[in-house]
Amino acid sequence: MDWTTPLAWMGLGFFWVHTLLMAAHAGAQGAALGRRLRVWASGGLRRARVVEGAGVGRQLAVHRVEQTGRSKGDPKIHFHDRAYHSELEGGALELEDGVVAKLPAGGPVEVWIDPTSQRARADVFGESEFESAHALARKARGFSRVLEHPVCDGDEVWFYGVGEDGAPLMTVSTASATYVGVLVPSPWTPVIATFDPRPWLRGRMWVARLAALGIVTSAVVVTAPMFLWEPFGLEAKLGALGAVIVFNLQQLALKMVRDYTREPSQCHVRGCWRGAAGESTAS
Amino acid sequence: MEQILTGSDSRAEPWLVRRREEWRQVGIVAVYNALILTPVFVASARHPLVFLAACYFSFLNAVVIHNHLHKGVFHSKQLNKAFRFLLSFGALYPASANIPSHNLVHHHFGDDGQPDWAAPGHVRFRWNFLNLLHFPNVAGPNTFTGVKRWSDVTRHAGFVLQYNAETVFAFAVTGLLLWGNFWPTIAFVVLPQFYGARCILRINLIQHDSCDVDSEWNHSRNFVGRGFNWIMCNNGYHTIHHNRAGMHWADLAQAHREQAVPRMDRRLDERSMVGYLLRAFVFKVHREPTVSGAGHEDVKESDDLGLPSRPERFAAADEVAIQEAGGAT
Repeated sequence: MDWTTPLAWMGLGFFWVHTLLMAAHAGAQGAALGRRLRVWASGGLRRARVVEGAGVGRQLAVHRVEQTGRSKGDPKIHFHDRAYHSELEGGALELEDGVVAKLPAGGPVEVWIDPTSQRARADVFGESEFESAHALARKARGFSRVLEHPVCDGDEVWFYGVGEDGAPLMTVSTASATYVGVLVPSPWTPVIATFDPRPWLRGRMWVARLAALGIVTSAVVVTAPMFLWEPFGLEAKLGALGAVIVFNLQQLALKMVRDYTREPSQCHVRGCWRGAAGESTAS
Repeated sequence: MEQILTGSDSRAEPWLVRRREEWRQVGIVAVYNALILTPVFVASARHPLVFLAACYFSFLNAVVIHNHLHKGVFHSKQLNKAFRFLLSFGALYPASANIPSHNLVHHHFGDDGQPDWAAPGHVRFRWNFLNLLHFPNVAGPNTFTGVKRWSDVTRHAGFVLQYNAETVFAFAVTGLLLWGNFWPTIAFVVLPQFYGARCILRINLIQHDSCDVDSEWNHSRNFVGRGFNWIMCNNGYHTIHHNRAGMHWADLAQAHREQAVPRMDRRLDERSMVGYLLRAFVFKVHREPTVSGAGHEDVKESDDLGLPSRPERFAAADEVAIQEAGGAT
């Protein structure tokens, strides 16, 4: 007996198992974002203005990205992110209804800076700065820098973390990670955002959901020939070849979704400085 | 320091290969290629047992990739590079990807701020069995996008050319086989290729899940069965491999017994990988708690081996890896 046929069916079975795992992963990513959106929609996320910042430069909070830049000798420095920090330096916010919320230094917080502006900030450098950075970037240790995005006195922000009376929400302190197939921050973690985060969350949530659907749909498309035409005929061959290609594309798509849905406090900033003309790009 | 890190000695080197034991690796690759190619051309060889053996040897082929990219099998650098083409075909991914992904990133455990592309934390399904299945779907693309970024900054001469050439070779040979005999190639070549490539990614989860990667001696899980390590070319001894990345695989068993065992948490020594997989991923729903070594009197924190610090070891291992790969950083 030639066992090729049952083994090919088994391969299709493995393909589907992994398709469903990847769809579940993307779906869970979307569900995590959706859960935070629901928590915020039920009250708590409000516009606010920073009225007091206890940190240096009257900072209420700061978002830091530690980066290392490396160069192979061409006039470019490619950065990778080493760590992300959100720190509350203490101060007060005046909420839109006039309530003033006092925020102690060192409390749990996620500082959300618009990813586009984070990447734009990563691009700013001077020609003299480039020269010294480039010399270090060519060495094994690389060129280290910290991108800081402060939230200061007078800034308009969106805030989640206190109840109607300005007191901390009961669940705010439980800022632990939650496991829903992926590691996500707790939806109860206080957030200070420099932009309205709801459309951002909603958009990412739908992208993740659609990606989950797309992963399954692509598998259906390449599997269909096995059932619609003669099994193991020409169409089935094309389907099998398509499955090999789609399987790799699904993994890549999941990677893109994972990166795209990283919350702004953890999003990839990276970036690349280009010398001479002083142009730069962030990815 | 080199002797400490690599365990190298002055034994006379045999013909063609660096160590007599390398013939085991050459044999594994030869058997594997026979297992996947014979059924494509010989109908009577298309049997489930051949398929299962091909899958297992595909994993072993990936183990050889790991060893070969740490320390080349042959004296000749050109032969070592050529061997990578054969290994790449067997795994359907460029063997040279191991240089950045394994030697230079995974071995650093994120100490230098470059997160490990194959860290167990990338998968977090509640049911741990799903993590085992799903892990390559996450670690694979992490690796290949990471290699792309690494290649933008590497000064490793010729890396990109070698990497691309291996990719083209692996896919071209597989494509030719598909063109010649499609379904047998899918069943007996492509499926084993995928199996091996994904299992070598999965082994990162198996060897580090619930371990303390910040620890000096409790960062890895070991599988110490003798038969297992014979066929796996001592890849069960993972703690000592991380701490002495330049040491030849044939010397790992003794170094594990003498150096790692007295210093590590004994719970990280498993007799059987199958037993561990059943216990941790099948009979248990959730992840096992982290084994940190705390409370184990056998664990020695002090280092009386003259072992250099982690950054020094990493730097030395990087240098060896780059030299083995045939270029400068």
